[in-house]
This record gives sequence, C-alpha cells and structure tokens, in this order.
Amino acid sequence: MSSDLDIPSSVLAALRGGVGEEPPLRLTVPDLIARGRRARRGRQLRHAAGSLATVSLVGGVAATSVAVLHSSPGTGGGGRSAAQPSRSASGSPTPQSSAEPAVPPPATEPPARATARLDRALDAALRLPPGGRRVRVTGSPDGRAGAFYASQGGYKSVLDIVDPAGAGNLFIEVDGTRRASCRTAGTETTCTADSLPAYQCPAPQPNLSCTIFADGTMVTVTRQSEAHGVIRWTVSEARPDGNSVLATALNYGANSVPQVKNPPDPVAQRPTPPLTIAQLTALVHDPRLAYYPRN
Amino acid sequence: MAEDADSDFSAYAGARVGALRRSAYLLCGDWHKAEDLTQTTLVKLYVAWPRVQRAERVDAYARATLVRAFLDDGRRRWRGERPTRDLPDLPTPDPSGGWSDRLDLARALARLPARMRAVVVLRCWDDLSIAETARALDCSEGTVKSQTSRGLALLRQLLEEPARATQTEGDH
Repeated sequence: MSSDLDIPSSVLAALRGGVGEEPPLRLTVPDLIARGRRARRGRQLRHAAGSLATVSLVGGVAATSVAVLHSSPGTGGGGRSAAQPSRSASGSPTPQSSAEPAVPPPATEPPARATARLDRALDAALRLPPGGRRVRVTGSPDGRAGAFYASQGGYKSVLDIVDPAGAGNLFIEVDGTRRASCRTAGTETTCTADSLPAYQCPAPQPNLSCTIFADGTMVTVTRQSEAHGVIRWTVSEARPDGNSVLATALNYGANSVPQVKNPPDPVAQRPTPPLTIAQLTALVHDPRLAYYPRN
Repeated sequence: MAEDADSDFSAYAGARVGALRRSAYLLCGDWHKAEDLTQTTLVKLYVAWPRVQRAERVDAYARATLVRAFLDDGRRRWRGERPTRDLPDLPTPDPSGGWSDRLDLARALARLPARMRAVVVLRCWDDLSIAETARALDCSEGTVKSQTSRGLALLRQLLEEPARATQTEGDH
C-alpha cells in the first residue's frame, strides 16, 4: 500500500481486507498466447491491407467468401422448436437432424464467413415472442444486430427484442477456444478436442442448475434477480468438442440505458426476459451455433 | 527468438495474472468482467511484448492497458453483456468477519466515478506513484493528486456511513 499517501484508517482497513476469496482462475497462459498470436496476425493483416496489392487480394477473398456462403453449413433447414429442446429420454443430446447438410465442419473459418453463417443460424433458431422484433443495439460493434467477431476470441451477438410486453435484451456468445488447461508430460498446453477433460458441474447453488448429459455435454442454467426488478436468465452449453454457447436474456433493453458517460443502473421494462429458459436452452443447443477457429 | 519471447511472456503472465485480475476486480467489482479485462490486457501485452520488453516497462504497460480496457468497457453502450459462462460468484461470509469490510470496499469503490476509482486503485492498491498513475491514465500529475484526495475522502465517507448508522441504531 502506498506509503506516501495519507489514507484514512477506515479505507486502510478496507484495503487490508483485500478482495476476499477469489474464484478459480480460468485463464491459461497457452490460451493467452494463442489469442495473442491471432491478434498479432490480425494486426499484421490490417497493416498489409493498406497496400494496393493487398486490397485487391482482400477483394478476391471477399468474393470467394460470398460464394462459399451459399454452401456453408447451417444455412439450410429451420430451427428446432423452442418449446421442445431436443434431448432424448436418456438425457443425451440427440444427434444432428438428418436435415443438416452433410458438409464436414471446416477446420478454420474467416470471420466474415463465420458472422454471416451465425447470422443465418440465429435467424433460423431464434424464436421471437408473438409480435416481437429484433432491434439493433445502439453503439453495437459494426452497427449490426447480428454476430460479430470479438477481439477476445469467439463470436458474439447483442440485440434488443421488443414486443408488446416491452423491451428486453439478448446476448449470445459462441466460442470454442476457452478450454481448460491440459497438462501433458509436465507441460501445460491448451486442450485439444481429444484431450479435453470431462466437464464437472460446479457446487450446488440456489439459483443454478446444471446437467451433464451422456455424451459429456454440460448445460447450466442460472436465474438471477438484480436491483430495480431486473431479471437475468443465462443458459450455457459446453460441448465435448470444446465448443460453448451462452445465451443471456434480460428484461430490459440495452437501448433504454441513457447514453451518458456513467449510465444509471438498468430498470426492468417487462415482467420477465423476452425468451423463456426453454427457448434459451433450445438456442444454445442448436448445432449450427458453432465456432471454428478463424483463419 | 520467438520461442524465447514466448517463454518470457509465459513467465510474466503466469506470475502476474492473479494480481492483474485482483486489480481488475477492484476496478469493475465483478470477477467475470475482471477476468475478461485481464485477458484483454495480457493479449494486448503479448502483441506489444517485444517492444515493451525492450523498453523495460512491462508492468507499467500492463497497468495502463488494464485501466484503459476498464474505462473503454465502461463507455460501451451495449451494456447488456455480462459473460457468465459458468457461475455467478455468490459471496459467502467468512468466519473472520473480513467479508463485511471487503463487501463495503467493493460497494464503496463502485460508487466512485470510473476514473476516480482507477486513480484510487492504482495509487492505493497497486502502489503506483503519482507520476506512474498519471502516465497510466494519460493525465496530469495534478489531476492524479486531486482525484486521489477526493476519492479517498469519498471512500472514507462511504465506508463510515454504515458504521455510523449501526452506532445510531444501537444508541436507540
């Protein structure tokens, strides 16, 4: 603690109390390095894109991406019924529908293609309430209501849903890189799909339910009540291949927060979030919402 | 060469990730967001590692990046995002009684404006000098001094409020 400061005794006592018990650290150094390498590559690419030659190359790639989109996985077929999340009686997630195109998943995928693919998947999977519509969140990256690549890795989508009951917010994250750390021959590495350890449900808590299915998929549901009547429902699915999808629905719209430097706490704008837990569960279980490393 | 740099970064990140996350927690008051801020900081540090390491200002760069990531995060309009992949961290009282102090500190810090909070955390928790804090926040040393003074006064007031209230209740 700074010795050249005249810190009031009450503040000093509070500072000495520290931050208390810390939750387990999920960041691993190999994962940080992998993300750092991707960020460095992206930066180099942006620099390179300044030259005329690269501009033409990027144009070619974009054209190719558009052409590939028409045959990308997840562009066909409708979503599952939100009211009937497809779990078998044994509790195991059902295999992919036969309507899914028999296209092998790509090893890597450029962000432009991934965001378009995920947009289409969301369009098909998202079951809006009657009379509901999607509204772009003011200030969202790229000014889009659809998926966007997050610099920390993975793809996210944030949108408001407005229906006669009021405005709500939906946040979706699709990621495949936040894996546990594996130790092989004494060396810590990022887990591969094969070496990924089995998921384990966290300790029981009143607002959390967790289920591990026969194939190793873990689904957690949290129901949180916050100040000013705000309700936050979160469903996340961690899949055996390392993919994870998270969906959070709130009963206030992000657009309702005033655009000031330090906005006040949000206030509920409808009795419950716009999507039910069952709808959120169906959403995170949709196999079209999947992450492939960017290239 | 690249392997050496990675090895140096690994050693640094392994040693400092916990401290950075604790600072981030005091800034934002949420362990999940703190982890995201720490990740953002270390990824940016990795990208800039060769340059930062040569200049021998790794800690200063990491602190400045963390604070800027926190301030940038606060400016975002789409505030619906709160990644909670696993669990919300529910506070559990510890038998030593320290929990109350920590809760009060976190609550009191949360009521300070973002930049003032950053100044107080950097000065009082991370033990940065006035000059280092000014560099991290890209502001003048005078601003750091005044923000520290005001921040500590406000913190004191906020921390002593519950105690006064309890005392008053006890008097009746």
